[in-house]
Amino acid sequence: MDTLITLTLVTDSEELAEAASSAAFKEIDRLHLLWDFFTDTSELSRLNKSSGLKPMKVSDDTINLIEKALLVSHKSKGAFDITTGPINELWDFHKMIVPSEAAVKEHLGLVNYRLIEIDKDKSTVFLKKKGMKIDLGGIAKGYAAARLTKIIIDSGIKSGIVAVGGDIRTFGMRPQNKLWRIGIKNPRLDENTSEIMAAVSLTDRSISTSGDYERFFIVGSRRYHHIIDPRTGYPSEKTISATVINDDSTTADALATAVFILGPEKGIELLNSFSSEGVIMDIAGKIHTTDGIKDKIEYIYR
Amino acid sequence: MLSIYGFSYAEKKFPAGTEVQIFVNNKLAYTLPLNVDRNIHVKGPIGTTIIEISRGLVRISDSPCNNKICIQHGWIRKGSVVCLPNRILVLIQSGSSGIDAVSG
Repeated sequence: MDTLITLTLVTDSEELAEAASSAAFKEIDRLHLLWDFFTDTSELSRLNKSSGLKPMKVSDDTINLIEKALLVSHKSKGAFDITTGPINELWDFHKMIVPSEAAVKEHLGLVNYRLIEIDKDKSTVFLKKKGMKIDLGGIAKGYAAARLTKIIIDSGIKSGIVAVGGDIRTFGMRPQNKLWRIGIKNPRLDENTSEIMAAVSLTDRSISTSGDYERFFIVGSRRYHHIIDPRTGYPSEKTISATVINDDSTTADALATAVFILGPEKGIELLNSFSSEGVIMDIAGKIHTTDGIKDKIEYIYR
Repeated sequence: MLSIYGFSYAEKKFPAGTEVQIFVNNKLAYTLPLNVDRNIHVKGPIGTTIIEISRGLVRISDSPCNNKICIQHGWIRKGSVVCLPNRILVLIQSGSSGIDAVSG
């Protein structure tokens, strides 16, 4: 996975820490081989190539991941959709390419999570329309955080943090029986502001953030960033940053994208339907939160 | 006057860190205060790298690698300097104290 992975493991045994972290990094390699969008031989690429042809047998991980993705797609009415592969391919944030309206319109017909068919008994997935492509960029890091955490706990470590990029899983207590204190990145960093805008203390929960500052380019006064609204094919312009706290890392990751796309009002409704908490900075810079976390956020800069 | 302005601007733009972290082979080997001057000898896979902390700045002052890119990098007051051949990463942690991880 094309991201920085940081493991914080609390133990007095160096051996245990070493064994746990090497098992975790092995798992990352395994998931990368399964789901890399850009490697022809990944399970994901083979699944995408079989679109419109026939159901393909896939790993349990892929079934589990797609099921979780579909739940968020369904509840967000398509604001989160893993079938945006054909649209994502049109955008190039490195070369600063805005696709033509015609191309976006044409490929939008291939974006529809309802056309993913899962058969759990046969362990198969069928993408029903030829040319459909799943891109797991909005959810795979959350799943990886969950898997790594499980492996680390199974290795005998009782507390720590797994951070796969900005997708963070906390478990157990911090030394001195404290909660883990997790910062939310300040989305508009300049010389006068601090690196984080707020902090929350928690454990045994996951926290994920989607922001318009991760991959973007600016043309004129318009910021083109990588969080594409599956319903329009263009970057969503309601939000600057959306942070989600959930019991499950995979769901937290998908919800952060969905909430970003929906904006604060509908985003908070979605979070409530998942018993999830969130902190959202809207496009004007105003901060919105779910009720459950309102009094628990420490603002460092706003 | 101009140079004083330039210096204070740099100070503001790059909030000074408080801690120096040294990683060997992706593992944290040392965490040291930035305000205590010293030289640290760190063993990596190809030999010993010397890291110097002085006046709130950090540099790699000696390295067993061939290209010496790490030494040429010079002094840093924020961010990182690496020696890839000897698998060493030196990181200055910026001032968000008490934060265990950052989401975003």
